Parts: sequence; structure tokens; C-alpha cells
Amino acid sequence: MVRLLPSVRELLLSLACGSIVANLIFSPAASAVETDINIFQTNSTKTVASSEYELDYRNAPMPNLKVTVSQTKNLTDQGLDISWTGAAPNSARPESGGGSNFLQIFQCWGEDPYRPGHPDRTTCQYGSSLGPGTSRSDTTTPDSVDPQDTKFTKPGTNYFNPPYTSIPFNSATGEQVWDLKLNNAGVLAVDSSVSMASNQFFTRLTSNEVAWAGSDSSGNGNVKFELQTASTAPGLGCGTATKVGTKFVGQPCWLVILPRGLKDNRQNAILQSGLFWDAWKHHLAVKLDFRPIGVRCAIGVPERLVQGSELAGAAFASWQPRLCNEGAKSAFVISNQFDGDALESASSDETSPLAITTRAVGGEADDSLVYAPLAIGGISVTFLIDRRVDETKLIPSDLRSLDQTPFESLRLTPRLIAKLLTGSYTDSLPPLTDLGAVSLNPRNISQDPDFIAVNNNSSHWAYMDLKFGGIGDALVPNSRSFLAERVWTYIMSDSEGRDFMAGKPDPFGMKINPWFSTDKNFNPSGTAFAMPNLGFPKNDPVEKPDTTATGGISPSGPINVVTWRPYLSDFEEGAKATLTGNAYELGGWDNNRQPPAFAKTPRSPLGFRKVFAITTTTAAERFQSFQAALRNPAGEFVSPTLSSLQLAQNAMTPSEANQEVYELNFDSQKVKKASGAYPLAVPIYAAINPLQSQSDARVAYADLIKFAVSEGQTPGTEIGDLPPGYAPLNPGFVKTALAVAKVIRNGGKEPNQDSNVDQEVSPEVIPSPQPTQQVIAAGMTPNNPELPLSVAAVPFAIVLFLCSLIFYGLIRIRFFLVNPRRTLL
Amino acid sequence: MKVKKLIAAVAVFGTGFAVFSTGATVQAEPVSNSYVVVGSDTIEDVLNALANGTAITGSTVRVTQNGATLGSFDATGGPSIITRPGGIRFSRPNGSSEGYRALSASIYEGASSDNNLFTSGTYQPVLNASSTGGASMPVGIRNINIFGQVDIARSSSSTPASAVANASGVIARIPFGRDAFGLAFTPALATAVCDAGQDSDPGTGCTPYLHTSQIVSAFTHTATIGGGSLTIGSTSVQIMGIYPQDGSGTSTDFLSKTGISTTQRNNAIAAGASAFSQEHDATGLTGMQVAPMSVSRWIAMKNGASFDRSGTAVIGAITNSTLAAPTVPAAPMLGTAPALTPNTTYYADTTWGRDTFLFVERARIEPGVKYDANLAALVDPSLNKLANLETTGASKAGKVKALYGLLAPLTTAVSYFDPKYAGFVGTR
Repeated sequence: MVRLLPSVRELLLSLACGSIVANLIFSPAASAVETDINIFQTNSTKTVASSEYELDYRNAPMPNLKVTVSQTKNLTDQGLDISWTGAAPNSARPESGGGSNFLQIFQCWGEDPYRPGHPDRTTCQYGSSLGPGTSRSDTTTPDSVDPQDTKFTKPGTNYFNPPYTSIPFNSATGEQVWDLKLNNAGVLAVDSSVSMASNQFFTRLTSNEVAWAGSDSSGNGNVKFELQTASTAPGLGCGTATKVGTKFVGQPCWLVILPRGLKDNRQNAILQSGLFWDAWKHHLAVKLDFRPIGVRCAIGVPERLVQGSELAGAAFASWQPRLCNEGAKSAFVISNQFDGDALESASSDETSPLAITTRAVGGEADDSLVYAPLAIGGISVTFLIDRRVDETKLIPSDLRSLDQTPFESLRLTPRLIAKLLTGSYTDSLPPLTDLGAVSLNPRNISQDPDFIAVNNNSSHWAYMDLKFGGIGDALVPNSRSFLAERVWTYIMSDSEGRDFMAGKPDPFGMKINPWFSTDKNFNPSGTAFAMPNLGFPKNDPVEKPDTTATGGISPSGPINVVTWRPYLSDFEEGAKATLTGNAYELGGWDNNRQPPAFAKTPRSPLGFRKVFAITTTTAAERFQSFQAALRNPAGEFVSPTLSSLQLAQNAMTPSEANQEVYELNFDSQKVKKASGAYPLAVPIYAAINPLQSQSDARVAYADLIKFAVSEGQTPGTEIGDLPPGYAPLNPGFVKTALAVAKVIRNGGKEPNQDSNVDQEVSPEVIPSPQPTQQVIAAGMTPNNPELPLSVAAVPFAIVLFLCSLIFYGLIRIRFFLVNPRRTLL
Repeated sequence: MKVKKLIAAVAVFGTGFAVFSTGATVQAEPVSNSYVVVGSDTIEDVLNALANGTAITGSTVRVTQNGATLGSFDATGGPSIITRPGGIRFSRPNGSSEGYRALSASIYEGASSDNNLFTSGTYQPVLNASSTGGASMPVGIRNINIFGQVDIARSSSSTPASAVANASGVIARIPFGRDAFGLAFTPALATAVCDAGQDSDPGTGCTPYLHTSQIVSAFTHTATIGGGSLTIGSTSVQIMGIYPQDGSGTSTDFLSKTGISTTQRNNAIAAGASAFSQEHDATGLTGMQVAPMSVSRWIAMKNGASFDRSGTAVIGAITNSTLAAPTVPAAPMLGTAPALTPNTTYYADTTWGRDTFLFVERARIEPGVKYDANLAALVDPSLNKLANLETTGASKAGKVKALYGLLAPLTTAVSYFDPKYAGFVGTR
């Protein structure tokens, strides 16, 4: 054995600490904290080229088109990244008329029996949009019907009885939607009871089809596509489980990218359905393999209730299929609820659901709960903001070519997050009202010199002309949670954030909306805004009065802050809002409604999207939302990645409320020195009173914890893995969890000496019981350590888990009973 | 005050004539036993001409059928209209969407349903945006059952009132002609834009143009009273956007094509950085102002077909190309007044060109119990009637349309739509 130099010996000693090994693996360059999250690559990324795939390449509208789909295997309800090159340039979307040189993107389920390797157009979810060029059926003129479409066409006789072509939708469930039926004379006739645009399988409110996607001046483009499984789109049936041999596999589907050139279907412009043969023959498609949906527990497997933080949902979604067959042999029914209530119920001696929390109860006298760490997650600020240049300025040419494309990164400080949550930008408050002091503030974050200064790494922000939409505030859930509390704690831990909340102006003169001030002398209500808050209240009582009777500009009913900027139901909806570009903007006043009311606005078209949302790291990963880099106490801007969550984990210390429960203490020296740590990382704990009498439930919970901290810690997208958005636990935490599991299993009796954990020592320096190779084997390659969490998306938000489809209805009812929606209003 | 105005308007209507706001030749809005046309303002002048007769082609063209005439009602004017002898008075349908809703209400056959009721969203005359309709419409002309009062709806939109296409829909859409959006500039602004390098007719004169994104910036300023500025090339140009009045089809189209929301517009106007004006009226433009303008209306005004409200303004073009890869748009029209013709290249633009349509009850143009041979003939493009598109021959209706600035629509086939009702407005 070679004699080691002292320094090398020290290194090896530290290598023995598993977490540090993990650090070296995951974070070789701690300074590289803001990752470029534009690259969504998985090992199932696929590219398809027009030249190799089209059925009529000689007449291709975009012969150089090449489309890349970020993930094509193990798919579920999630976001997909679709990018392309070689399209015909066009970047502004016409509202009326089909326009020209655009792509349509949609999902189909069946294969064309006559053209293997191509989808069958009668199995596509397409045609729910109302505009020309996007329908499923159209009238035409007799000489304009392609022979391939004849079988779908009601023949016409003259101008007032034109031929009508309608492409049926054959659902995966074996039903057909078709408004043409053979009549008694054996001729196709219109069946008025059927609507091709709005039927039992899809409507414009449910369909995920992208009716229009433009490209930049070089013919490149990029779209985030909302993929749907059978649970969202039963007509497509993607992911429906079928047994092949001994294994269940999900039903595959197709992603179709349809180029629309200048005109097709023998018309003068793009006016008719993309499913008509003239257009359809130019489609590109990629086959998608779905993970089987539904969890197949054997009938009779007991149901165990789990309730609490939404942040655990994605992990349970991944673990459950394993849990019903192995170890725990239970169906864990999880419901989102305020962590505090879940903990209160779990601290009882009576049998209760297992609580999921991100902090200890705290405050009260004896904490009867034991806490088992399950994983590290985080809160994320997601955004989708399309560039829109300010034409009053001289625009740099590099920015010109990016106009109407989304920003992929941005930085936020605690003070900027505070501004987004306190109605301090004028766009977050109802228009045409007296906003008092707030009226002097910038209208939204993009026009805030504070924000532009923080984002001085991108010159683009100074040239933006972004108004309205959802960038004057962030979309937030209406429920209470410790995650919300954590956001406020983060803001108040920062001196800039504290000062702003108290009512002091920022260096650019912007002041908080006084209704949110933590200084009671500044707050018009006479009381200070309570900190840290458990929710995201909308305190400002400003209201645009009802002007329907008095006139004025655009008369309308009253608009208060919640009407103007509504709440979402949960954190996950925020991530979905950013994927789909839905800012939940208030529509126009519709006098013709009964009674007159505000209309709803649909999601913004590409190029016009402006959304911020507070969500979880797991939801953001699943829906492929862009995530903001937040300033940590070490002064760096860090976006949530596997490594930044790991580094945050290493900096966690026992909390004041309960020494057994760890937290990221923003005031600790450890955190202030924690380079590369994501500041809104939180530990996720399962908690229960171990004295609860029902032993079979306790054993099941113990088995769950045991699985979660062993096999359930492998990062990845396979069933049983720890999905993207989480970081696996350090060995010290794992040991704690196993010890707590034992206590729960034994009904509160101390576990034996071997697994007792010395809580004086921070978990990260406890020698690892696990070989480090296991972490490496978890699908991460040391060669590419900065790979973002979004290596693949994972199922998450299926809020409750089904043991089997048979139990579906029963469980639904139960979920409803145990999860009363809580609001702050 | 409102009551007095209403009485005054009623007095005018009592004579059977509407107040005239448009038309070079004074044409009455006839209360007669004819086919009643309501809706869009964009094609109201050409409909008036075809219905009442015109000599603009050099030969008299008037569309009638077997002695049945047409009565075309303007989108704007007095607050209410009567369309049939002894017919009921109802609020004036203003624009494509309201025309469609009025047609829907008129053909609905149910027993005393709200679907027969119609209330305009604009209480006319529209002087500014504060005019309001709907719930605040005077009770006397609110929620009127207008069964059988309307035969044809004019539309500058392919799907007015967000109508839903449906193969078994009861309303048929007939292609009528193609219009395009342009911009009316004040001479000072036109010169400034051309001098800054955006001139689609650089050889012979100045036909300024703006990119869609520049229009958005110019029309959504809120910082500066009296407008803001655009940087064109490297030149800063003062500019103030003027919106068409609220509720007009042109306003709706302009907002949707630019992507400007009504809230954005209202804030710009509230800040004094923008203003409303009567659509297709450029006489009020001053300083460095620009307003959207229907090219067909402009051509009609310049050709002497419509009352000329172009003032001193200069027509300009719009391009939907991006400034990263800018393309110079074609000039909106060719030739010189009074023989201006639409430029096919410009009209073919899929964003800023637009097909216009007529909507009629389907059952009346298809064989069956309700078949109305005269109405079917009026909208048959193979006949020299409303839907005709032939541009050669002074006697052709298509030639009249061309001189009113309309080209053949890109849409060729008839298609069918579900009705959209106005419904009950206010409280019961």
C-alpha cells in the first residue's frame, strides 16, 4: 500500500462521507449555479425529418423541416419539448384566417393499417379550435376533394349543396365520433346530433392541440407541448395498461407535427382541415411510449391514508406501484392538505393518516410526533415570458431575431419575490382604480429597474415592452401550506426583503403596497402583515366599482383584486399555467350574458405569453416550466437542480422547533457559506405519533418509509424512482428515517442501539451506510453532472392514488371528505 | 338627457328614414317589404350601393330579384331601426357580431324564447367610448323579439360572434369579397415614417408602412400624454395611435390581429396616450396620428363611391413580417383616384387581408318548405346578384365591389354555422 500524503488522507476521509462524494459528483463547479435549462434531452430524444418521413415529399411545404421531441419513452401526463429547424419563417400569428407557414402539433393514438410507421388520421385529437385551417371538417367544392378523402365526404350537387368532408374520430375506447352517417338511401348524410369540434372526447377547453406554431426568421422554433394520457384524454387512451406476458405496458401513441405552407386542400389559402389528405400527407410523426397508467394493487390490499404537503405527491405517484406489491403491500391514498392540520391529526393517539410535512409542528408544548425524512424538494418560481421588443428603442440585431421567443432564465431576489406577492406592481391591481401610492410603482416586473439591474447578465430585459398578462404578480394557490410560509421566511431572512416589507423604498424608489407592510404604522389597516404567513393573501381592498349603469370607458361590473388576479387551486396548477401560457387574465365584460359577466380568456397564443407562478420543483420539472434562479444567502443566483438541492441539503441544520427536524436556516453561517445551494429547498418528512394503536397501519407506514429511503431514492423516471424535482437524501437522513421507521413499527418503543442516531451531528458527516455507487447508478452520469433535473418528467399530480380502477369511485368520495378545501378568503 | 335624445331619434324614425352618416349619395334606410340586411360597417356602403342602385361602373347596377328589393341598414346611426312596415322597433345592430346575433334571433323558431330577443351592445349614436348598451340600453328598445325582422347579416369576420362551424348549422355563410386593413397617417407622420425608411412605394411617392409589432408599441403607450415614439431604423418618430370606436367590427378585428387587449387599449386611452375616433373617418386625425383603416373603404372614398372622409390623410400599409427579417409590404392599392383598384398582392396577406361574408338562413336557400327562391338567387354567385364576383362588365355587381375596393374572397365554398343569440339583457 502506498503511503499517502496527509492531504490525500484527509481527502479520502472526507470521501468516506457519502454526501460529500455526492457533492463532488454532482457539483464539480460550484460557481456554475445558473444552469441553462433550455436543453431538454433524455435518452429517448428523437428527431424526424421531412425528407425521410413524408408521404409526398416532392410537394413538401417545408422540405427541410426537422423536428426533435425531447422524450419518447416512459411518458405520462407531462410537458414535452418540441423543437424544429428548416421550417418556413413566420412569427406572428394571425387571429382570423389560417395564416401561412406554420406548424400544427397534436396527439394521435392509432397506426395507419395501410401505411405502417404512420399514424391514422382518424385517431387524432384535432379540430377543437374554431379558426379556419384548424377544423376537422369543412364544406368544399366538388373538384377540391382528394380521392383519399372521398370515403369521408358527403357528395355535393351544387353551390348551395356543397360536398362536405369530415374526418371521423375513432376513439381508443372503440367509439366513433362522426357527423356523417349512411342514410336509408345508402348515401352519407349529416347527422346533426354530432359535433366534430366539441364531443365527448375533446373540446377546445380540454384539447392539447397546438393549432398554430410559428418559426423564427431562420425557420427554427420551439414549443412546450402538454402531453395527455388516458386519464386526461380517454379518447386517446395513451398509457392505458395492457398485459403483455406478465408485464403491464402502456398503450403507445403518436405525436404529429403537421407543416402548413401557403395553401393546401386545393384552396386559395390555408382554410381547411389539416386532416384532409392534401395537408395530412405532409405530416411528420414520432411514436410515443407511455408508462402504463393506474396502479395495480391486488384486490383486497388495504388502503392507508396519507395527507399533507403537496410536495410529496410526485414521489408517491412513482413509489405506489411498487408499494402495493412489495413490502408495505398497501395502497397509499394521498391527499393534499395544509401540513399543519395533517400534523395535528397525526399527533393524536387515535389512528390517523400519516402526515407529510416540510417542517416540525413547533410552537406547541410536547411534540408527540416522530419525523422520518423522505426526500429533498423545493419551491420554485416558474415563468414563461415571450420577448416583445419596445419599438420606441433602438433594438440590437441579436435581440431582433429572438423577438416573440421565450426567456429561458431569469434571476430573482427575495425583494423581487416580495414585490410579486404583495400587489406592489400596478398590473396586479384592477385597472381604472385609484391605486394611491402604488400608482407610482412600475407596472410589472419587466419594467422594474430593480429587476433589470439584478438581471444584468441579459441585456434583453432593458428592451422589453411587456404589459399586462401575469408578470405584475405570481399565480399562487389559495390554500395554506408550510411551503408558502417558507417563501415568506426566505423573504424576511434577507435585509432587502425585510426593509421592503416594512415599507422602506428600494434604491429605485419603489415601495411596497402598504396593505402588505409588516410595519403597522405604514399599513392602512393599522395592523402589521403577519409574518411568516401561511398563505398568499390578497390584502389590498381596492375595487373598480360597477360602472355598468354610469358608463365611462368600457363599462363593466366591479373588479376586486381576486377577480382581477384569481387564485389557483394548488401549486401544481401554477406549473401547468406556465407550460400552457395561461395567465388567468380577466376577459372583457360581456353585456350579452345572462346576467352580464366577465368573459374568460383562453391561454395566450405563442409569442404573447407572460406568466409567473409559485409552484413546486417537482411540478415545474414535470411540466417543463422555466424556473427562476433565486439569490441564496451566499449571494449567488441558483436555479433548482439536483445538485443545488443536494448542496442545500448539506447546509441544513436542526430546527429550533424540533431538533430532530432539519431546515435550511437562512441566518446560519453554514447556509451563508453554502455555495450553490438552492435557497427554497425543503426537506420532506413523514410524521406520525408512534403511540397510535392500530399496529397494521403503523407497520405499513414503517414499510413505506423504509422503501422510500432505500429503493425510492434512485433519481429517475422509472416506476419506484425518485422523480425529477427531488434530491435523494444524504446517508445521515436515511439512517434517521430508518430509525424512525423502527419506532413507528414498534409502537413508540426505542429502536435498538445499532440504529440509534446521534442527532448532535449533522447528518451529512455520518458515515454512509450506502455504497456511493448506488447514487451514481441512479441514472446520473458523472461526466454530465450539471444535467438539469428535467432529464425526464415524471408523473406527479395524480392527487390521489388508486389501488385499482375498481376502487376509483369509492376513493374519490373519501378524498373529497378528507380534503376540505381551505381558503384564506 | 338620454330620454330626450331618444325621443328626437324616434321622431326622425317616424318618417321612416334614418339619420345618414355614410354614403356619397343620400340613401334612405327603407322600411319596405324587402330583404333586410344588417351588420358590418365595413361592407355597408357597397351593400347600400347594390341595394339602392349605383352608376359607379358607368352603367346602373341595382340588385333586385323578381321585384323584391334589398333594404340595407347601416351599422351606425340612430339608436334603433324598424325594418318592416308595421314592424317592431329594435336597437340597431352595430357590426358583424351583432348582425349575426340579430339574424339568429330573427330566424329562431321557438315559443317565446329569449333566443328571439335582441339588444345591441352599443347605445347609439356613438360619440365616444362612454356610449354604452346592453344592460343600460333604454328599456323601450331592450330585449325586443325580432322574429322575422332580418334576412341577411353582413360580416367582415369569418366567424362573427365566435360562431361555431357545424355541417348541420342553420345559418349559411356566403363569401362576399375580400378587404384588407391599412393605416391612415396624417401627412406629417406619413412623411416622417417614409423618411425614416419605411416606404412601400419609394419610387413615386410616400406610402408609409408599419410592422405589426410597431403598431402594438404605438397603440399601447401609457407613459406619455399625446402618444409616444417609435424608433424606425435609427430615427425616433413621434406617433399617437387612434383606435376605432368601441364595438365596431373594425375595432374587434384590429385588436385581435395586433394582439392588443381591450384592457391595454383602455389604459392607453385613460392615460391620454391614445384616443378613440369614428372608424373609417380620417378627417379628425391631427399632428402625428395614425388610425387603422379598411382599404376597401378608402378606395371607395377616393373613387367617389362613398362619402369622402379621408381628409388630408395618407393611406399606408401594414406588414406582419418581423423586424428581424423585414419585408416591405406591397402598396395597398394601384392606380390613381378615381380609378383606384385593390392590390391583389397586398390583399392576399393572411393576417391583414380579410374575407367578408353574407350570412342567411340556410333553410331558405336550400330546397324545402322554407325555400325562398328570391333570397337564394340574391346570394347565388353564378347570378349577377350580391355574391357575384365578376369584375369585367359595367353591369356586374362584382365590378361594383371592385370599385368599392373589394376583391374576390379566398374562401370559395358555402359553409354552415350555429346561431349565436343575444339573449336576455338586464334584470328580470
